[in-house]
Amino acid sequence: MNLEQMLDYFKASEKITRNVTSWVELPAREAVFADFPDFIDGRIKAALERRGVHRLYSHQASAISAIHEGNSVVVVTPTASGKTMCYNVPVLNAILKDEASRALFLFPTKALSQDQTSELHELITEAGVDVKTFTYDGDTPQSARKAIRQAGHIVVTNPDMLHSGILPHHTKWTKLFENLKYIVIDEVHHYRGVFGSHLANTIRRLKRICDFYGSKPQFICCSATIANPAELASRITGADVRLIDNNGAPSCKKHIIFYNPPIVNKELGIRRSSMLEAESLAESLIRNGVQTIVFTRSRLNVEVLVTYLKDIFHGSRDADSRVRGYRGGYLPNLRREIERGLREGSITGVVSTNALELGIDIGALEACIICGYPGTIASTWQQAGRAGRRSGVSVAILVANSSPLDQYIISNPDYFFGKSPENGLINPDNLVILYNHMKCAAFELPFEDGEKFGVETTAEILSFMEEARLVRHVGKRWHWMSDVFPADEISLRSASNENFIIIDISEPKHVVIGETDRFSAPMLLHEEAIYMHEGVQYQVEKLDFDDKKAYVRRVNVDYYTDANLAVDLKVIDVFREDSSKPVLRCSGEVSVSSLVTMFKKIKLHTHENIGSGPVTLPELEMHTTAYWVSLPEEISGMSQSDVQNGLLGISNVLANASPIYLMCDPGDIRVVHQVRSTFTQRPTIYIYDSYPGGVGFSDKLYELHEELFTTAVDMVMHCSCEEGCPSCVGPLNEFTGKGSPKELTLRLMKMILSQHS
Amino acid sequence: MDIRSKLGLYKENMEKPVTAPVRDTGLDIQDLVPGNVQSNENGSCFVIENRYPVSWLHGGISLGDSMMIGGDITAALGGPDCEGLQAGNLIYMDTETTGLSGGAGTVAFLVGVGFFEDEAYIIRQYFMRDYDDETAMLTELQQLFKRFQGFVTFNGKAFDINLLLGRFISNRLRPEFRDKPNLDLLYPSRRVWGLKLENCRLSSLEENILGEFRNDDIPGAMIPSAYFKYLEDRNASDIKRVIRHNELDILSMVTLLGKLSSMLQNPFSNTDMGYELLGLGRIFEASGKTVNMLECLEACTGSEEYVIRSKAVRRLTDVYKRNGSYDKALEHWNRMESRNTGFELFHLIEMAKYYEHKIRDIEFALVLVEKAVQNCMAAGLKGSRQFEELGKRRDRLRRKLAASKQSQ
Repeated sequence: MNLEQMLDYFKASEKITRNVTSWVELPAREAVFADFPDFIDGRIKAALERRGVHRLYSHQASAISAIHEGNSVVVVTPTASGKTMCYNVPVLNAILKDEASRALFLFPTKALSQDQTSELHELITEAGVDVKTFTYDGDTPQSARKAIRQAGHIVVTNPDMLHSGILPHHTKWTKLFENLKYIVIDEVHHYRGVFGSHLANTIRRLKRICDFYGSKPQFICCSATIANPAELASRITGADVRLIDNNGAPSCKKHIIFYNPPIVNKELGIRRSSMLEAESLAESLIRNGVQTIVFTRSRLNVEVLVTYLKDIFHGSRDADSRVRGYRGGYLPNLRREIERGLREGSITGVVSTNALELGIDIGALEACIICGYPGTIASTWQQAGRAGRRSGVSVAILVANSSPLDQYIISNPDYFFGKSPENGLINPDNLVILYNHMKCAAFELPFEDGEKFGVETTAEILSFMEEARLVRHVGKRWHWMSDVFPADEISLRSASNENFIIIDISEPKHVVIGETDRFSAPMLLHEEAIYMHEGVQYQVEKLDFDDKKAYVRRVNVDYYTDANLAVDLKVIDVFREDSSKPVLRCSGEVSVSSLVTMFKKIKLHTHENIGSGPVTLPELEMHTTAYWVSLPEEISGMSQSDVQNGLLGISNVLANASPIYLMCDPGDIRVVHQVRSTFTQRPTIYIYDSYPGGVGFSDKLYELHEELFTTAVDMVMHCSCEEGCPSCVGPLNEFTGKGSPKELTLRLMKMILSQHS
Repeated sequence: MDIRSKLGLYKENMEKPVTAPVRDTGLDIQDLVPGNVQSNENGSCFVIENRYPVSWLHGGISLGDSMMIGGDITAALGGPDCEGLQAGNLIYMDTETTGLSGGAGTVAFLVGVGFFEDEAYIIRQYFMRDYDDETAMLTELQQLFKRFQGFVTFNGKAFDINLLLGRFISNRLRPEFRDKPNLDLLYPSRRVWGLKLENCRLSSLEENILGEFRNDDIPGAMIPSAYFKYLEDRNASDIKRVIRHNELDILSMVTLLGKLSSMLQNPFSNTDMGYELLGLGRIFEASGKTVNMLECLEACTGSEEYVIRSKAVRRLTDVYKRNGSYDKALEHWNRMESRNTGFELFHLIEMAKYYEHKIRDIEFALVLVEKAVQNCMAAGLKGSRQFEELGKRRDRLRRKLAASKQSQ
């Protein structure tokens, strides 16, 4: 059967359709073309024509023209719409016009920068021009670096390398900084939260240095579809950015199927494993020769599924090469081989982590199965975009697992198909991050009196730095006065420089497998905690709190641990407040002190409590931003215990609902409630950013108050459980007293909403 | 809440401000160190000058010895860039900095230079009394550098010159000295003394080679903090030590160059006839002086020290092989075998190759390889990569031998 016949078969099969919550057919799209603008160098045009590109798509032409007019842009188009041309063409054109011109390309990962440079190389070779493009990252040999600094027209790197390897040594890069015309930031939606806030500050430093050397680069950004691409790009670059989203790339007819595995335990809201369902869907597609990609959420699942799917070709000569796995940890050569196999069609099935989600060229496949909601709608579209050739038909199937977020998305397709609700959020002015980058900036070039580093309070921060003996104010300048190299002390991937590292001691050779921030460490890494990494369970054997190291060993147990966190929250400052209604809504700065006193062992799947233990760790204090909602002191018809239960339910729901708007991991924000807040004297729910200083999450939720609570109500109302379950208000054993937790939660939430509409 | 208290909260473990700096202690630089304030269009800086007679002895060598060093020696020590440089026309340079890791935020607060002028050796040190003296200091240096053909430094290629280039750029001054040659003494020193000494830092060479010992020297690692402290309290007593440290570094560079030059001119009377001679061989080799190199290495093959002997023979026979002088090479290999330690393999393998390919005496080649296999086992190297390779060579020779016997 071909794919079309397979889809007919799926439609006719009751076994399948009863699990389908939504089946949408996106019609084929015709290409919208535009001519090459005449300012494009003939050699580029000729090279593109030789490669079969005779005209541009409308969005490419708009981007190229907007850039030519001197604008910074953000291009938002789906996967495989030829967005790389939006920056490759203007950059090459500028270099061909003026050999001295330089460009800097930033990609979030090394793998991606390699892939993109090879595409650029092809175009340059085809055009027969002398444009030198180099990757400059941690893998670049010392011997090659000098030549790259002098002669590279296009330097391809990542934010981390820019931060610690290029900017602090800018005097060796004079050619680049004097002539920098374009800064390309691809996959801009990746830079959100902590990473994005760091990047924004790294760009502030970059612009300062360009200013010193007299260049004024334009920014060319690309983003997946999110709610606020232009806002995010302009917050990262600190520049006005024009949005280009008139996608002109053609696409074939595409089926998008939402598939929810059947319920196996109604009270607990547990469904059949998404892995098993994805497995059988993939099997039937691959067996029929439909080229299929399966995305899973962990490296382990990749291996499990591949082993299973290989059996399809059992006995055939090329069994081993027809179904392949693809994930981080594979060697580059193997990856290239698999990518080629996919393009050429010699591989029928590939199981991958999100490693193949980004723009690595694997051609277009026919079918895509996404096993478990990837966490954001943007990622889901990017993964789904891997299926879809220029003609014919393609399918993407999202298979949900039991988690609340998965369940919400699978039963509310409108969120997926409508306008994206997801905001890429950053907080470049997070004081901790800002302060760290100001140190780097002061190291790179002395601050001048009156200079602003993104914030009005620059001078105050500098004088604070002076008191800390880090800078010296003399002759109207602030000079770096320390023998430390500040960029070495800051990682762009974490909020504070006080991370705990996690060391696997299962094998004689110990390996660092991850790190976590100081404030999460007591919860995740207390002794006896089960720490999950890449789908593998580890038990913490020893936590060296002073040295910030946790030693873990691989285990295989049927429970997870849940630390009992006693949180005390004090409001320090109110930024915004809406007190016109009986329900109070605020955002501001809070001090959170947290103390882990004990932990519980919870059985997987059933969530039974099967044991507990004490934890003795110091109390931690963190200052961060929060958004809070206070109910009236008295609520008619509800006892203190009812309110307590309702607040608990709201806390659990909000923790699951917020990521839909924030594109964050569930751990990036925390929710606490107080039946009688010490600050407002009223029942209050606080949502705070779990990073010192905040990265913009709770601040956005303040604005999204109504949407957030509407979604939360939906989530609970449409849950198939009776009184409440882990997919909505949380495990029932957390609630005490009489009254349905589900109902109490809904009552309070509806009250909050009615007070506001 | 104001930003300052917020920062205080976030950075709770930050050092608390110390008491307000004390000014006018009467111990500032001009009180403790004789020197002048030099001014130009970009401001001013503090300059210290000392004159030494050319007959001044440092490390047992007079400074003047270095003045007459000619172009062939500078080229041998500094490579092709230094071809034809007269040492008397070079400027010696050493910096003291606010950090050791480099990067755009590291500043050279003291730049010491030395040069010959009117039958004297002059050491001039430029000091930044504060950050705003830097542009003026660099401007002075730029003017001074123009008078010289190039630099003499110790690790200046990797550090001092690079750092100064960065400082010029950061101060919006065009570094006109960018392309001047630099005779960096670190590299020849490593060649000559790398095997003999634990490390080749200038301080180590000074003590072990020049026999100079410093009193009350400030350790390099303390120099940045000494400067930061001075900026705050204007007490120059530690800076005075830094200035002396810098001056001694320059003096040592002068006589170190003298020492290297005398060794190159007269290898057999001015070296220890051991490691130094071996190292000189490497310098001669790198500068294409094959005859001198062979002389040095030939002398080393008679050394009592096994390491020197063995390294010399390797190097030497390599050259002989390349020149086709197999007889000379064979003589050395044979001599090596006669003074056999029982563990050395290299000469046996070389001889085996020679007998197999040049003489075509497969049988004898096999004898040699079997001997090597025995040595290898005696040395406890059984199972090593070397052992494997020998085994392969032996098996191949055996097959070759059998084949040739059959065809006869």
